[in-house]
Amino acid sequence: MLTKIARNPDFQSGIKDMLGPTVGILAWSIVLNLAILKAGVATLNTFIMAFISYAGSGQLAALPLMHSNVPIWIIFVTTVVINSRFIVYSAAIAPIFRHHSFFKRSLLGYFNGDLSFALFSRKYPQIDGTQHHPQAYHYYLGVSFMNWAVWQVGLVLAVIFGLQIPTDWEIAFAGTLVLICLIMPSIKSSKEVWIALISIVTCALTMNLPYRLGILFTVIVAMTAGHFLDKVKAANV
Amino acid sequence: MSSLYFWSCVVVLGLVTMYTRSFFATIGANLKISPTVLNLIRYAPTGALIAIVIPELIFEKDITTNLYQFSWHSAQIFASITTIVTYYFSKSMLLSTSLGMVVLTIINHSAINPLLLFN
Repeated sequence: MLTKIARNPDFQSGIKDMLGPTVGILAWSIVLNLAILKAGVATLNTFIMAFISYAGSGQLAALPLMHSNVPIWIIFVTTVVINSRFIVYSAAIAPIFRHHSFFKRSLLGYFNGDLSFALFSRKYPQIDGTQHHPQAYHYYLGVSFMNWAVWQVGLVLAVIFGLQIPTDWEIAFAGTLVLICLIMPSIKSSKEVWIALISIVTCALTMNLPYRLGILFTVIVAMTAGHFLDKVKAANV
Repeated sequence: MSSLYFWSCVVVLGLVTMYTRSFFATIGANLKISPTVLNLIRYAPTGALIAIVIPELIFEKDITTNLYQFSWHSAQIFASITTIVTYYFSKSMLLSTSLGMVVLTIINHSAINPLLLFN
């Protein structure tokens, strides 16, 4: 079954599209996992944590809380809030999972990430929930699996080269630069320029909200802005 | 931190990853989302990516208050401009991020501050 997926052309095109952002994901993973290692988690435990939790910034936010032994429900609520934008994303990918078992749908969700979702939603902006979507499904598998695999490679590199990586060299900025490249193709029309500007202002105003809630706020405002700009466009036609 | 506590937290984090990212496909599979909202999710990544990028570009985290403050970092700005221009012409993500990082490193590790030229 796995070789069948690996040979699927849509799966392969997902892997290929993810090659460009690879440097950025690697850089991020190294920096974030170094921070986790420095927070005093044993090497083997860091590996298992990255494998089971796969939460990126959620892991980093949870660690200080874990160190102060806060009740587990507080850790639960905190990480749900940090992951809230993924709940929005899940609505867009839900239709392609429809034909799979509950366990498989859970596993498919686990593999979702910011970068892979950005690529997926660029390739398949609108998925109609009534049809079967083998292409979209395999493409999703390709980008998400690649995102996950590169993340784990970053962890291995962080463990091997950890002490040699100079902390004053801001390698994490490579991740930011990759995101800039990913944003650019989505800003083509004047409508999209407006959405981007509104997002920048919203983000600047909500940046200091706790638990990275500013991201969710910006997502909701960007969608609302898109809605009104679509309406204005429809009214003018 | 006992090891039972640590592993419980790891499992909770894993479940949160799984069920927030699959929410409308698993726990909320029976919730109906209006087609209008579904249609608008295509604007979500732009908003999210911008919200992740902007704090790293023109803001800086104050270590004492842990709050972001506006800060005109020439290295970050010039690295981003390099990446944007390179990506616009080459469409190569690897090339444009690498050049951006070269610019960032050069500015950070030299006495040159390009913004001073404009003062």
